Amino acid sequence: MFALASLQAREAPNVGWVDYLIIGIYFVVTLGIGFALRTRMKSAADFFLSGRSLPSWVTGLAFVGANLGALEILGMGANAAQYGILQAHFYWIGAIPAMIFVAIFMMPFYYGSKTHSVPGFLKLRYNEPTRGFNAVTFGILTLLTSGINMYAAALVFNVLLGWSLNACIWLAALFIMVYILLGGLTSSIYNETLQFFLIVAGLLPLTILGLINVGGWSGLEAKVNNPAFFHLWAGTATNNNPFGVNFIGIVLGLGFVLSFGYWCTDFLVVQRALAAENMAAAQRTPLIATFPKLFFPVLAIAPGLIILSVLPGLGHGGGFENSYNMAIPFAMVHYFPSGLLGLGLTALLAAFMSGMAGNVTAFNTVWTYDLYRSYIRRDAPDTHYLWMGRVVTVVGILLSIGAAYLAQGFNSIMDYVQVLFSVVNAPLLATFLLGMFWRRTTPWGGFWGLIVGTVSSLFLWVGEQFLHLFSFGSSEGSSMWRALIAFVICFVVTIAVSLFTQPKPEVELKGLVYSLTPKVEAVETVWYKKPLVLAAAALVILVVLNIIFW
Amino acid sequence: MSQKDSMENLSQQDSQGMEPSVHSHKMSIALTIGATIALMGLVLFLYGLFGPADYSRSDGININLWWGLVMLVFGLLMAIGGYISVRRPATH
Repeated sequence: MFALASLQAREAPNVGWVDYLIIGIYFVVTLGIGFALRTRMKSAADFFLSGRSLPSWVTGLAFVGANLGALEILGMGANAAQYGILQAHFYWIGAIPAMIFVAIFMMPFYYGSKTHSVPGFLKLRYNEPTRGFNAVTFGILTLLTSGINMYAAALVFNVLLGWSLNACIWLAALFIMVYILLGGLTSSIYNETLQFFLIVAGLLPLTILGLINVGGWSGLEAKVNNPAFFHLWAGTATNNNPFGVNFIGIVLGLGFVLSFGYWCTDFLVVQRALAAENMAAAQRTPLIATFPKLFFPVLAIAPGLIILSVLPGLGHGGGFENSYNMAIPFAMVHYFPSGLLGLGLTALLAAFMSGMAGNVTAFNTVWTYDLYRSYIRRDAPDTHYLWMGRVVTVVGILLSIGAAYLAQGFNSIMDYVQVLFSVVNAPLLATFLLGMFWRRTTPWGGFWGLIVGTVSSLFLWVGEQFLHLFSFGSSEGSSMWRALIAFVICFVVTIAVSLFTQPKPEVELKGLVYSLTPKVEAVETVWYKKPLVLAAAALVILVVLNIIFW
Repeated sequence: MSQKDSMENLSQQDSQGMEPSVHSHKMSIALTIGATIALMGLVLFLYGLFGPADYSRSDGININLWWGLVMLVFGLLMAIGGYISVRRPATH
């Protein structure tokens, strides 16, 4: 206990006026963007889809920015301290193939069908009840995710700056409310792009200073003194590695179900591509995002390993403030002088903000279009839906605050996120794959498959967590298994029900099912913008990185 | 019926009343973000030159000065690029 106390005293940050000045610049710019965009939010499409007018580099960086929320950064740094470089699998095999798949095979359907959301697409391919069910589960997911972001932000600033937990939560909520009300999705996307640059600016010096301090990569290997932490595949022939999962589990569980489920069906990221200016830009969006994703381990995983050599006590004390989740914030406090520390805190702050804002804007769209307009008020003028979008922003943020207090009950932030994911996204992936590639899939097949898949995943979680009927091992492993089982159940039920029900006429499936959609001629004449060129480049880098760190 | 027509029929219900009002993003995002990064870089750079920071944490490297300079240059290049693309008429 004494050791812990002295460790914290030594790591107390000295935050000065210059740090607050940099945080202040961020707040002023973000609100300024909101005010500048205010006059341009004239129609509902401006508010919810950015009028489909953004260039692909902006949507591409926002795509990766929406994914790299603060949870991701804290979580990845934490897991790097826990599992070593194996954590890079989440960025490489667990992301790149799925992102390429979304761009090449799924974006033509999403963007081409002119839908405004993932549930909207489900309505076109399946039927109204399928859309309704997905809209409700997705709405709940976004609010819970937004809440956990809010809670994590409050905790970090509580530990580092000593602000009260309640003040942090309510201040963050108020701030986000103002800038979404003003600028809608565009505001959110601008902020995500800004956040992307801030995260790089705030984390890269951490890696540089840390590596200089420990004597380069070889010095780091010597200091961590655990060879298993420095190989991606070498130890995965058996389950005897830091992950506790062999290469088959990594490729199928992480590389297929988890990553395809997330990137293909999570509306939060897909919505960024839907805001692109044209089909070619929409297809390019996930591909542009693959490149920052490939190099992100430098920023998130290296500091996690470095801090392990500096603060070996991390992860062995009680409470959040000594958990692995604080690896990156503590590394900043350890290495950054006043000035740069402000930049680092701003980067974390921006990441939390965009994590919340992204979820709130996704919730807006799904509520207004897929629930309110479909079931409550069908034929109102456009201005009414724009008004509704603003009202629901306030409601969504208030509900997120509730979710933030709810999240206090959970031990680990990453566990919470994984549970949500295995219940909502994993079965949905089966619904999507069957719908897009098997024309015989019927509306009711999709509906029942999705319901049974979701409910059984929920049952598995309740059964394991609360009733203790069975156990899948560690929390990470159990989410992976739950996701896989939910996927298979949804897959099988969808096929079974489809065989006994009436499919949609083929005319209605044009543009929604792969085999019934004529291939679009290449619209892109600049060679380096062609989807296949970008995809091939990302794959080559992926293979090279995996060989280097084998 | 062409593919485009059928798609439009399919999604008619969804896209009705959702036509975007104005297309152009006159306030270039590159200009805004570049300027923000340059401003933060400038603050760090000046603080590195004149500020009383203690650099023992960063192994004696005046990281504020150097990282501030990197951000300043990067931000300015980005802002200039954004400014030029705003002034140039759209090509498509």
